[in-house]
Amino acid sequence: MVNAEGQLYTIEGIAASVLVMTTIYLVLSTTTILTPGETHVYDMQLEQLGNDILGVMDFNETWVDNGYGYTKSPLQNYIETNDGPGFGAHFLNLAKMTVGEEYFADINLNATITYRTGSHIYSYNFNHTRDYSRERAVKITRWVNIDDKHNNPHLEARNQTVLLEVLLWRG
Amino acid sequence: MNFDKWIPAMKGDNAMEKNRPGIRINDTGQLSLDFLVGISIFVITIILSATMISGLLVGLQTKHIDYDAVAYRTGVILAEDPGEPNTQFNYLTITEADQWEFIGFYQKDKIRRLGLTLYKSTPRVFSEQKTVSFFNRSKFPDLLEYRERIIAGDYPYNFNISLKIPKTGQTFFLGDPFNPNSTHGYIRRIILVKSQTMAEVDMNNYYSLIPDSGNFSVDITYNRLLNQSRGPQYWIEPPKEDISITLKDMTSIRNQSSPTNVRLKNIRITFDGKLLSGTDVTGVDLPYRNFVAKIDGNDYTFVWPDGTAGSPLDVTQYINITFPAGYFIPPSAYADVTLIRMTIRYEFEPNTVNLSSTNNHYEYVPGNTGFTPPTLTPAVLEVRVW
Repeated sequence: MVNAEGQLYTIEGIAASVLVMTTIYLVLSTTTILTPGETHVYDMQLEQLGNDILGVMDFNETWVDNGYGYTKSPLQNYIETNDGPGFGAHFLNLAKMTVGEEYFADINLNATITYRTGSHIYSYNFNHTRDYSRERAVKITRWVNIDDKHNNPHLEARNQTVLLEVLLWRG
Repeated sequence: MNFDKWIPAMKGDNAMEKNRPGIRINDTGQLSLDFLVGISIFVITIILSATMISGLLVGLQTKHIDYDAVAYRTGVILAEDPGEPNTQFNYLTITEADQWEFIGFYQKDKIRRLGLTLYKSTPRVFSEQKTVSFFNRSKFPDLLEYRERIIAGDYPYNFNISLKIPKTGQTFFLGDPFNPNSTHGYIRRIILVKSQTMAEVDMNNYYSLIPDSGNFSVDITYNRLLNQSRGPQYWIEPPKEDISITLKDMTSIRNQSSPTNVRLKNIRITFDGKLLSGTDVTGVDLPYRNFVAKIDGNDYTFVWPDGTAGSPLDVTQYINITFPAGYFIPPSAYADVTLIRMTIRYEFEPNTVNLSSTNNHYEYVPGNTGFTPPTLTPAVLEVRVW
């Protein structure tokens, strides 16, 4: 009981403490608290995955001499033939590989190629699964060598290195 | 609000004042200590729970981040490192102790770190031999010994490592069983596994109408396999990899006028090259090397020095020899590797085969008919730590 003097009873102190403890226990045990530190971990995992995939796509399955004394990687082939959908499908196929049957959130990508023509730098969208609207994303980049004989209308007919940027996000 | 009727003591009644003990405020049974005790318990609880909140959160957070960091580190050790010991790049004169996957149970203390790539320069390209050796527990029956070599930490973490090659359906597991719903650190790596090579020699291509030879040979020339213009991911390194040779359709070289089948006397392995002492050698039999050949489905051990399996053997279908990885290490160890040629010579009874000395030879090299070159197959590696 409380009177005009604003006094607290012992029993009420105990009751309040039990209430506080129970609330904290319930809150902590029923929700996963994402701290900013942990989202960095998920970003790191996604970034690592993307880097691995571009690394894997940079090796051809077997040695095939292309007439230049080296083997073209799938990555180089996709850019030389301007096959964005092929690139996207290959990328996502590798991204979905898991050992078990676990469910992983869908991964979306938005790939851009940056190249030089004359003294200007241009870029164009290579492939995207969905429009990017400010989701939390990571960016993976890789330089890709291109031969002079290619079928990509964007690029000049010369040996060159273009920059492939892939924006990756979950959802 | 008027509380007067509830608190008669406040009216200054003499009788009441006389009876009031020192610690009592009035006659309602409430003590002045009561407030002190109540507020103290409450304040202590608030302080306690405030401490607990941060403690619980920090504990939750650091543990998770810590597990993820350890899983990441283990992933890097496995997917981007060749392990220790591992031979230097392009340095192929080796002994078994120079390459961890060939070190057996009794010398396992020499293994300092387990990594699965071919070389430091080929991250994400796994050696099939290392992968098989890693997931085979015969070297390290105790998981503790793995932990020392892949976790690199003092805290006794539990771990689970799995690898799947979707193309072949092969799956490998190592470590403690884990609960997918429990808190654990996790990393997934997409990698390539370099497969080993083999040759299937179709004997139909070697029938000769004018037979003048009883032998057939397969050459393994190291400098053609260690092609310097290709990266190590496309090399074939005979000392470190399985070498499999199958002569198939053996009846096609049978001497039609002979009453017997093709009859194999022996198989010799000879060695050409330059020893480290500078001496050139040709046609030297590999010393103290026995091997197993599968002939028409049965295994026969061919014994040094003659390379026979006892009496001559009739062959109607095929002869397969799979030299396990490491078989060619001792004979390759004392010679200039780039000049080595191993010749596997099948010696038949001459009147049972139609072979010509101008066409009785197969080179074990990518590009030849029937040769399966090294293939890089995508695979997924998952590391869990808790």
